[in-house]
Order: sequence, then structure tokens, then C-alpha cells
Amino acid sequence: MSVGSEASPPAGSRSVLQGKGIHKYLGSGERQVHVLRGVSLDLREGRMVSIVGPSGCGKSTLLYLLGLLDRVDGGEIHLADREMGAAGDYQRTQLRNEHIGFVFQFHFLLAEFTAAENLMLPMRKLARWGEEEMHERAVELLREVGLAEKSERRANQLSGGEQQRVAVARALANEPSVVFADEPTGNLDVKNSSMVFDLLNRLCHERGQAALLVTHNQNLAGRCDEVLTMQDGLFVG
Amino acid sequence: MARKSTNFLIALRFLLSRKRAMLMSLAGIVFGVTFFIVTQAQTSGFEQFFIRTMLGVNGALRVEDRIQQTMRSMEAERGTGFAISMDDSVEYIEGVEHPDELESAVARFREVVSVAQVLRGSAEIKGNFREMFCKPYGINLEQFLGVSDLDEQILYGDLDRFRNNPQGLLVGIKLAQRLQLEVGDPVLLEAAGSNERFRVSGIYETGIEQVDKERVFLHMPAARTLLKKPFGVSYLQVNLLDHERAPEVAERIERVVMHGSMSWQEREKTWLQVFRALRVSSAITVSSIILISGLGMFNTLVMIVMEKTKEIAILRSMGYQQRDVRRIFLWQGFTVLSLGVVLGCILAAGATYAISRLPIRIRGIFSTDSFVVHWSWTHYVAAALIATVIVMVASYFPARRAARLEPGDIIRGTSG
Ligand SMILES: Nc1ncnc2c1ncn2[C@@H]1O[C@H](COP(=O)(O)OP(=O)(O)O)[C@@H](O)[C@H]1O
Ligand SMILES: [Mg+2]
Repeated sequence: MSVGSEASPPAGSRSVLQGKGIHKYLGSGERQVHVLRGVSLDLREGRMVSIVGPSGCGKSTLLYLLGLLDRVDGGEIHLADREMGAAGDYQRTQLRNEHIGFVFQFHFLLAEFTAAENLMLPMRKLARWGEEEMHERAVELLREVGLAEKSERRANQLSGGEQQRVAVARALANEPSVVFADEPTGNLDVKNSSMVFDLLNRLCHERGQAALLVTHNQNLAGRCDEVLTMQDGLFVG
Repeated sequence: MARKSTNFLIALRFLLSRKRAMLMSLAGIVFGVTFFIVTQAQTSGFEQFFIRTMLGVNGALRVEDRIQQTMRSMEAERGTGFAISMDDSVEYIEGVEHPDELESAVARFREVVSVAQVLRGSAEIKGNFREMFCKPYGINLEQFLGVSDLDEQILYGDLDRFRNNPQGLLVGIKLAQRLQLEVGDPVLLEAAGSNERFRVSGIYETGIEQVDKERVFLHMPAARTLLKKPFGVSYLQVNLLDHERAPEVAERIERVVMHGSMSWQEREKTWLQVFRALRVSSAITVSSIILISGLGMFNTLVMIVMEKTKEIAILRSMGYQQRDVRRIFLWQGFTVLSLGVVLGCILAAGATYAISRLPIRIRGIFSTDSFVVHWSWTHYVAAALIATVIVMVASYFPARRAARLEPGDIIRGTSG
């Protein structure tokens, strides 16, 4: 598997999510902005794609659309063999639970819950596993991110780096098809940044999940299977 | 199943993040529910006690003045021989002319338990060199005991003494006090220009001032002699199986026997209205405590929604539906509500019991030496219902607001 930009998908890698000609407007009236101007991309199993580009070019907007947090104004998003670009809230929410994991710049852990309990939140909603199995899975995932011994610790008693690692583990809890990470290392120092990136990179490849990473860190972006550069709502180069 | 308990679990954790504010709302609901139940137990306690006293004195209904038939009449119940008037403009003729016939006609109604004839008049009572106004009531003792609690009202002396003395007299406590009468004392009753000698066989207390200060009971034959009324009586006092049905029974009796018939509800309308007003106004006043804690609850929940927007956004992003978020907040309201209602009911039951032991001396419309309470599950249900409506309305709006938050907007606002 080649490491670097513009790597072509390996043969046999299945397409998981496709965006086709996506348009998005934000704001209203005179202040309306045409943020995305017809963006297309393809996310495949076991491949990590990164998006780089200047602040405000529309990276997060695209990520929210592909992650079914928002609705497109034009174009299509195919996930699980369904066109979801403009689907209703209930359906999009259900698909997020089953197929999508998020890591954001801010960890968004629930402070009143332990690390393991935080990981169990998406699992409880999915209701695929029993109580004990969910807990075992949570501890196992925490072991993968090096936090097995802190699984019963309250989220607000962990350091920033640890919290973000818990967030990575939580994004993987339901074995999603795609993981979206929006500047997941933006709040972390160099050491923690590369630790979180390595985790994402390793787990996605090991588990055959597709991943889309938005980052300002050129070094980290370069280590992905593919790097897309965005400018003014379009991919360039 | 798993999902339902998850929403509840999240609700609990959110609640605990605002412990003090929640405890305040909880305390408000507990005290509101408690006060509601206790005040209802008291006001309806006194009301019930008044009704019981009054039924024990004057019976469930009275059949008195004869209705003059001015227009055509028709048979009321086939084969009974009773007729009902078809005209609205009726005249009443005072008293009951043929008491025995009327008594057996009234006794024929299924709802009627017992009937007693009463002859009423007015007289001067003289004893211990004093003289006062009084109202002699001529009764047939055994009959009258069936329509009153006279046997329980005797304070001094006893009914056997009265039963065995044709010139015996039962005197109300207030009248006895004013005349300084004791059991066994001789008295003179003066009516219609003649005097009759009697002896005090007993002193009774109903608690109803108006009765205790002027009513004296004597045997029917003695009353006829004293009042010079050889025939007829003033009214029939009637006792019913179910006194709640008195108005309806009274109406039927009136139609059939052609005598004015009045239920206790109609007779005591004024007092009953006073009690009802008291009960309703205390319910409204006390409900405001629950209302205020509902407002507190609303405030706290709105605060939690604002504090937890990020958490709500992440829950939504990981697959929690709008309705899950709504339920998380409704659960918070419901949890505080349930705790408040349960604790409030327990506290109320304890307080009601304690209050029923508090000494208080009341005479006037009834007689009691401690607070009177009425135990009724309806008070508990009413309190729970009021609290439920208030708290659930107070929770609904924050819950709806939380559910409508757009996760994308919130997350966008947190990133650089
Ligand atoms: N609510 C909004 N109304 C109008 N414009 C918005 C709104 N939110 C974001 N934008 C604009 O959309 C563009 C894309 O934003 P975003 O996707 O967050 O950029 P990036 O993640 O690449 O920094 C930016 O120019 C931003 O100013
Ligand atoms: Mg961004």
C-alpha cells in the first residue's frame, strides 16, 4: 500500500460512501455564501483520505454533509446503497448511529460518565450487544487506545490527549463504515497529535474502515492514502 | 429496552449535574403536594363532620307542608293510588294532617330506612327561678332514634330515664347551662296559655348552637297536651340508605305524597357552599406552591439544556434521535415529579395523622375537641394530577427546545 498523496485505490477496495456534485449554501439573504460548488469524492474501505485547505474554504461543511449531520442543497451522497443527501432527520440519525463515527476538534465527552460509559453510549443506541458485551467491547477499545486502566475514570478526570483518544475509541464503537475526523489534533500538542493520528490511521487500516480527515497539519495529511486540497468550495490540483 | 433505560440514565446524570437547583424544585413539589393533601383532608374533614353532625340531628330529609292541588292530577305509580300535580303554581298548607298515612306512604320508598313523626312548637321554660324561650319537639323516642344520633348526643342522664318518664324532658346543653339545670330538676313549660310540669331526664349536646340553646325533646302525648295539638304533626324526619341521593329521593317523595320534601343538601345549602368555597380556595392557594416549583423546574431544565448543548449535539451525532433527546429531558421532569409526589404523599399522610391528634375545641356548627380530618384517596390523586400537569408542562418546553437543536450548528460553533 503506497503512502503519500494521489495514491490510487487498491484493487478490490470497496467504495463505502460517494459524494457527487455537492452544493451547499450557508447563511441567508444577502449574506448567503455558496460554500461548496460541486464537490465529488469517493471513500473506500481501509483508506484514509485527508482534506487540506485554507481556513473557511468549506472543509468542515463538506464533512458535516458527508457525515449526514446536514442536508445538501445540490448533489448526492450515497451511503449503504442509499441516496442520503437530502434524507429526513430520523433516517440520517439512524444511519449515523450505524455507519458513521465522528472525532471533532473538541472531544465532546459526557463529563458525568466514565470513559467506558462514554464508549457505550453509541452502542446502547445501536442495541446490538448486551450490557456485559458492550462493557467488554468498551474496555477492549480503550485498550487499543492505551487507556484500559482508565476505563472507569470520569471523562473530566482525563487529560486533553487522553480525552481525545477516548473520543477516537468512541467513534469506532459501533464499527462504523466511515470515520470522519475534523481537525482532531487541533487542540493537542505535537506528541499527542501524532499519537491520536497514529491511532486513527492504524485502527482504520486494521478494521478496514474508510476515514476522512480534515487537518491543517501538512505532515499528518501527507501520511494519508490520499490528500485532497480544497479551495473556495472545490477540490483543486 | 436498552435504549429506554439509556435515556433515563442520561437524564439522571444530567439531573445530578444541577443537584441544588433540582433539590429546590423537588422540595417545592414535596411541600406543595403535602400542603395540598393536608388542607384538603382538613377542610373536607370538617365538612364531612358537619354533614354527619347535621344528619344526626335533622336527618337526611324532611317531609312537611301539604301541597294543595289546584289543578288536575294523575296517578304517579300505577296502582299505588298516589297522585302527582300537573300544575306549577302550588300552595303549601302548613304541617302534616294525617301523619300515620303519610308515614306509611313514605316508608314504602325503597331508599327510606326509617321515618319519625315530629311535632314542633314554642314555649317558655321555667326552672331555678329563671325563664327562657324554648322549642319543644314532641317525638316517639324509638322512632326518632332511627332518624337521629340522639342516643350518642346525651351528655348527662340517660335515655332510659326519659323512656320511663312520660313527663320526661331532654334539654340542650346551652339551655341547661343558662337555666342552671341538672338531671332530675323539675321544670315548667308554658305554652298556649297553660303550664305543664316536666322533669329533666337528660342533657344532650349536638354541637349545633342553634339546637343546643333552644330545643327540648318530650314525648309525643305530652307534647300534644302542652301544645294543644291533638292531631297532626309538624313534619316527618326521614333517614335514607344513601344520604347522597337525598335530593333525588326528596323530589320523588314530593311528587308522590304531595307534601313539600326537603333534602339536607337543600336545607344546609349555605353551610355546604361555605365549606366548598373553603376547600376550593385552599386547593387553589396551595396549588400555587406547586406552580412556583414548576417554574423553578422549568428554569433549571432550560439551564441544563443550555449547559448541555454540546453533549446534546454529540448524542445526536452518534445516533440519538430528536425524540431521545426530548425524552431525556422529559425523564428529568418525570423523575423529580415522581419523587416529589411519592415523598409528598408520605409526608402528607404523616402530617394528616399528626393534625388529627392536635387538640382544638370547636362548638357552634358541630362539636369536636380535636382537628377533624377526612382520609380520602381522591386528595392524593388530585395532588398528584395537579403536580403532574404542572411539572410535565414545565418540562415539555425545555425538552422540545433541546430536541430541536441542530447538532451541525453547535459543532460548527465549537471548531476553529
Ligand atoms: N452560518 C453561516 N452563515 C454564513 N456563512 C457561514 C456560516 N457558517 C459558516 N459559514 C462560512 O462557510 C464557509 C465554510 O466554513 P467551514 O466549512 O467551517 O470552513 P473550514 O472548515 O474549511 O474552515 C466559511 O467561509 C464560513 O465563513
Ligand atoms: Mg473547519
